[in-house]
Amino acid sequence: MPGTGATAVVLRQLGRVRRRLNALTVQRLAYGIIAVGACSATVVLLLAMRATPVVFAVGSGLTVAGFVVAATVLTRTTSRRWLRRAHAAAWVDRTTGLEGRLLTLSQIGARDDEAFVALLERQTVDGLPSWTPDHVVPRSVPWRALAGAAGALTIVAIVLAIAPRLRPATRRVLVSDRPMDWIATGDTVGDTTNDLLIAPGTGHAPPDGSSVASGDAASMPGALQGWLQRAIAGEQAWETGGDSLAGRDHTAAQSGAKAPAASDDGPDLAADAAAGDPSDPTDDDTQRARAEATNDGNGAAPGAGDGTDPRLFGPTAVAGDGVRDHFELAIAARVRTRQGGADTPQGDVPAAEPDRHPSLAGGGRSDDPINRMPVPAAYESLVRRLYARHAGGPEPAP
Amino acid sequence: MTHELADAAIRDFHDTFTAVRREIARVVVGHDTAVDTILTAVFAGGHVLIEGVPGTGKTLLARSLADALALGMSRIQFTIDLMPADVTGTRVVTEGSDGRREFRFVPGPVFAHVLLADEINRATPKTQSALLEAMAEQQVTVAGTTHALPSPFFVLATLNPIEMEGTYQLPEAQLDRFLFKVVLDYPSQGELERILAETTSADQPTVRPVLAADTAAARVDDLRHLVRRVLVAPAVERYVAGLVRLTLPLADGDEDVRRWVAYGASPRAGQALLLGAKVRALLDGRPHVTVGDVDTLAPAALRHRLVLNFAAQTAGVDATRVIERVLDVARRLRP
Repeated sequence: MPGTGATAVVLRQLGRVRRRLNALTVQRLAYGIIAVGACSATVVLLLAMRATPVVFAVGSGLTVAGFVVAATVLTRTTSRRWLRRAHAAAWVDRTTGLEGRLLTLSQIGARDDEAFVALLERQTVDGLPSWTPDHVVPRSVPWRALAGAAGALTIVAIVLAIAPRLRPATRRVLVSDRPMDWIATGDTVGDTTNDLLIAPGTGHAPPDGSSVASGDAASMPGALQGWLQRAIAGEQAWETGGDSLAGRDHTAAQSGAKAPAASDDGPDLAADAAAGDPSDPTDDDTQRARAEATNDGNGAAPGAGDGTDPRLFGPTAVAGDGVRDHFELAIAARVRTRQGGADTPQGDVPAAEPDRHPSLAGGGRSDDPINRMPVPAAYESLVRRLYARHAGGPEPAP
Repeated sequence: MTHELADAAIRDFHDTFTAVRREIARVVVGHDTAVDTILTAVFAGGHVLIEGVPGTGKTLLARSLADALALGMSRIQFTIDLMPADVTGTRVVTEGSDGRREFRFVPGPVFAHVLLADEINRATPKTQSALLEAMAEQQVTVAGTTHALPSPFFVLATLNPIEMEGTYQLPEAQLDRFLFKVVLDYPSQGELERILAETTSADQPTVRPVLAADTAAARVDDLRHLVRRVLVAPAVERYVAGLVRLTLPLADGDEDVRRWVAYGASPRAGQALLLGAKVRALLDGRPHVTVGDVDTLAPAALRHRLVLNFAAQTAGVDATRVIERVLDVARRLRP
């Protein structure tokens, strides 16, 4: 009868077989989901690195949907393969050719013939060695599924390792300090599409302190793509102010070989990139004053950048009625050319600007360098036109 | 009884069965499956309907079976003018020793261990029905008096599928009382050559009784009792019940069954399947029944219990094809 010693032994072994098979089934499910998930992650990562936001959104959506479908199929398959207690005996019978002995032994009741039950027990116990857990379920680990999962994880690791190289070139954001009547992108500013010039005065400023993400950061897929790029390939910071030289160096370093102009004509772009604080891009005077403060007020503009040299205009003298009286034009400022960036500076390179010191004497000594020249405010438009870079055409006569 | 005794009993059953089969095979050439099915019915306590064209050994098979089991046999050649009393027996007026006249029951040919009802479809339904009580309850009632039939009681009826003129289709109730229906086909080329050689020679093979004549009936009863002790798992019982229900043209049943079957198998079909499966289990040396045992006997147990409709007849669909379909559908019911 069920529960007797021999039957208990048989049922215990049956339980062990069931647990071993189910453990194998669960492993198959886990490895399968890991493999599918890793493959999906690989696709998403590649899309995040290389695809446009739209392609990334569509592709990652399809990939996630495919992962869900595959996981569902795997789970259903596992559910079907899961050996339930009620079906364990019949399954072992079929698998091992026990001809229904386990099924009968596990289901017989008190009304059954004792001698026949005893005989059935004896026959089943005698056959125990033929259906041990190791015999019925030879493998404790689904090696193929495990290899598949490991391979998929390896692919993910490789993609993660090469992800920074897969990332498109950084888009340099060049922030001008002056209100400009145009916004130059790579089409107009440089020879590459990696440049984006933002004029603070036009409202096209990057978020304060934010980072650059190639993609539409306003949408969720774009944000996800940006987050993935930052998480995998590191930050790509906007250069939105601060020290001009530091900004120039950072931008140039990130641009690498794709931005030769940044290294060849470094001062030309770096000045634009470094100048101005976009946090308050609409106030010209404030911009100017901030630039003044940053550069100690009297530095000769190196002429970098596409727009007007941020330090071209010195501090504005304001008359008592609030009208600008005059401004100071840096003497060393270069006149921009129309093509290809600023000309190579001719002659001697201006010396480094000395720190501004308070004027202790009433008048300057004769050997002090004169860095700026006061210019009447009425000439501002003319000076701006002459000292600004133009899109093309011959260089105007100064 | 310990498991050793059970094992010995099963072995004895197997030996007896195979010995009877071997003796029958001495005179009946071929028809191995039919012989096995008939022997299964004998030890399961049922009756068999044999269908076959003339000359295929139906009568010889029945006679050989009785001889091998050393059981008494009687034969009734059913004809259109056969009366029920010719089957069951009748009361006759006899005069006692004291001169008084009284009715005395004279048993008919049904009072035998093995009854061969030859060409049973040639008798009228009234006469055929005379066998109903005998087959179902192993007794006959004549003039209000019930007479028990000897045990074991086994009816082996034959049907001739041709010459249908002057025949009466067996009523469904009587068909249902046959445990199995066996179809005897024409012998193959080799079997026919062997039949010709053995039946035309001077040395005619004969059947030797396997059981002792004086204990044969008791032995057969013991073996029948042993059969009923075979273990059946509830899952197998569920499978048998599901298999029988699949033959019913139910709304939620199989589409082919609904299309072709007018009436499905009765609960007796399930009993036949299980009892026959128990015999097969013992023959295989097992104390328990498997689904395979049930499937093996399904055609014999179901084919005469299915009443096909006109659509099946016009489509040329027979019961065997319906059973194959039912077995195919029943795979999902397997434990």
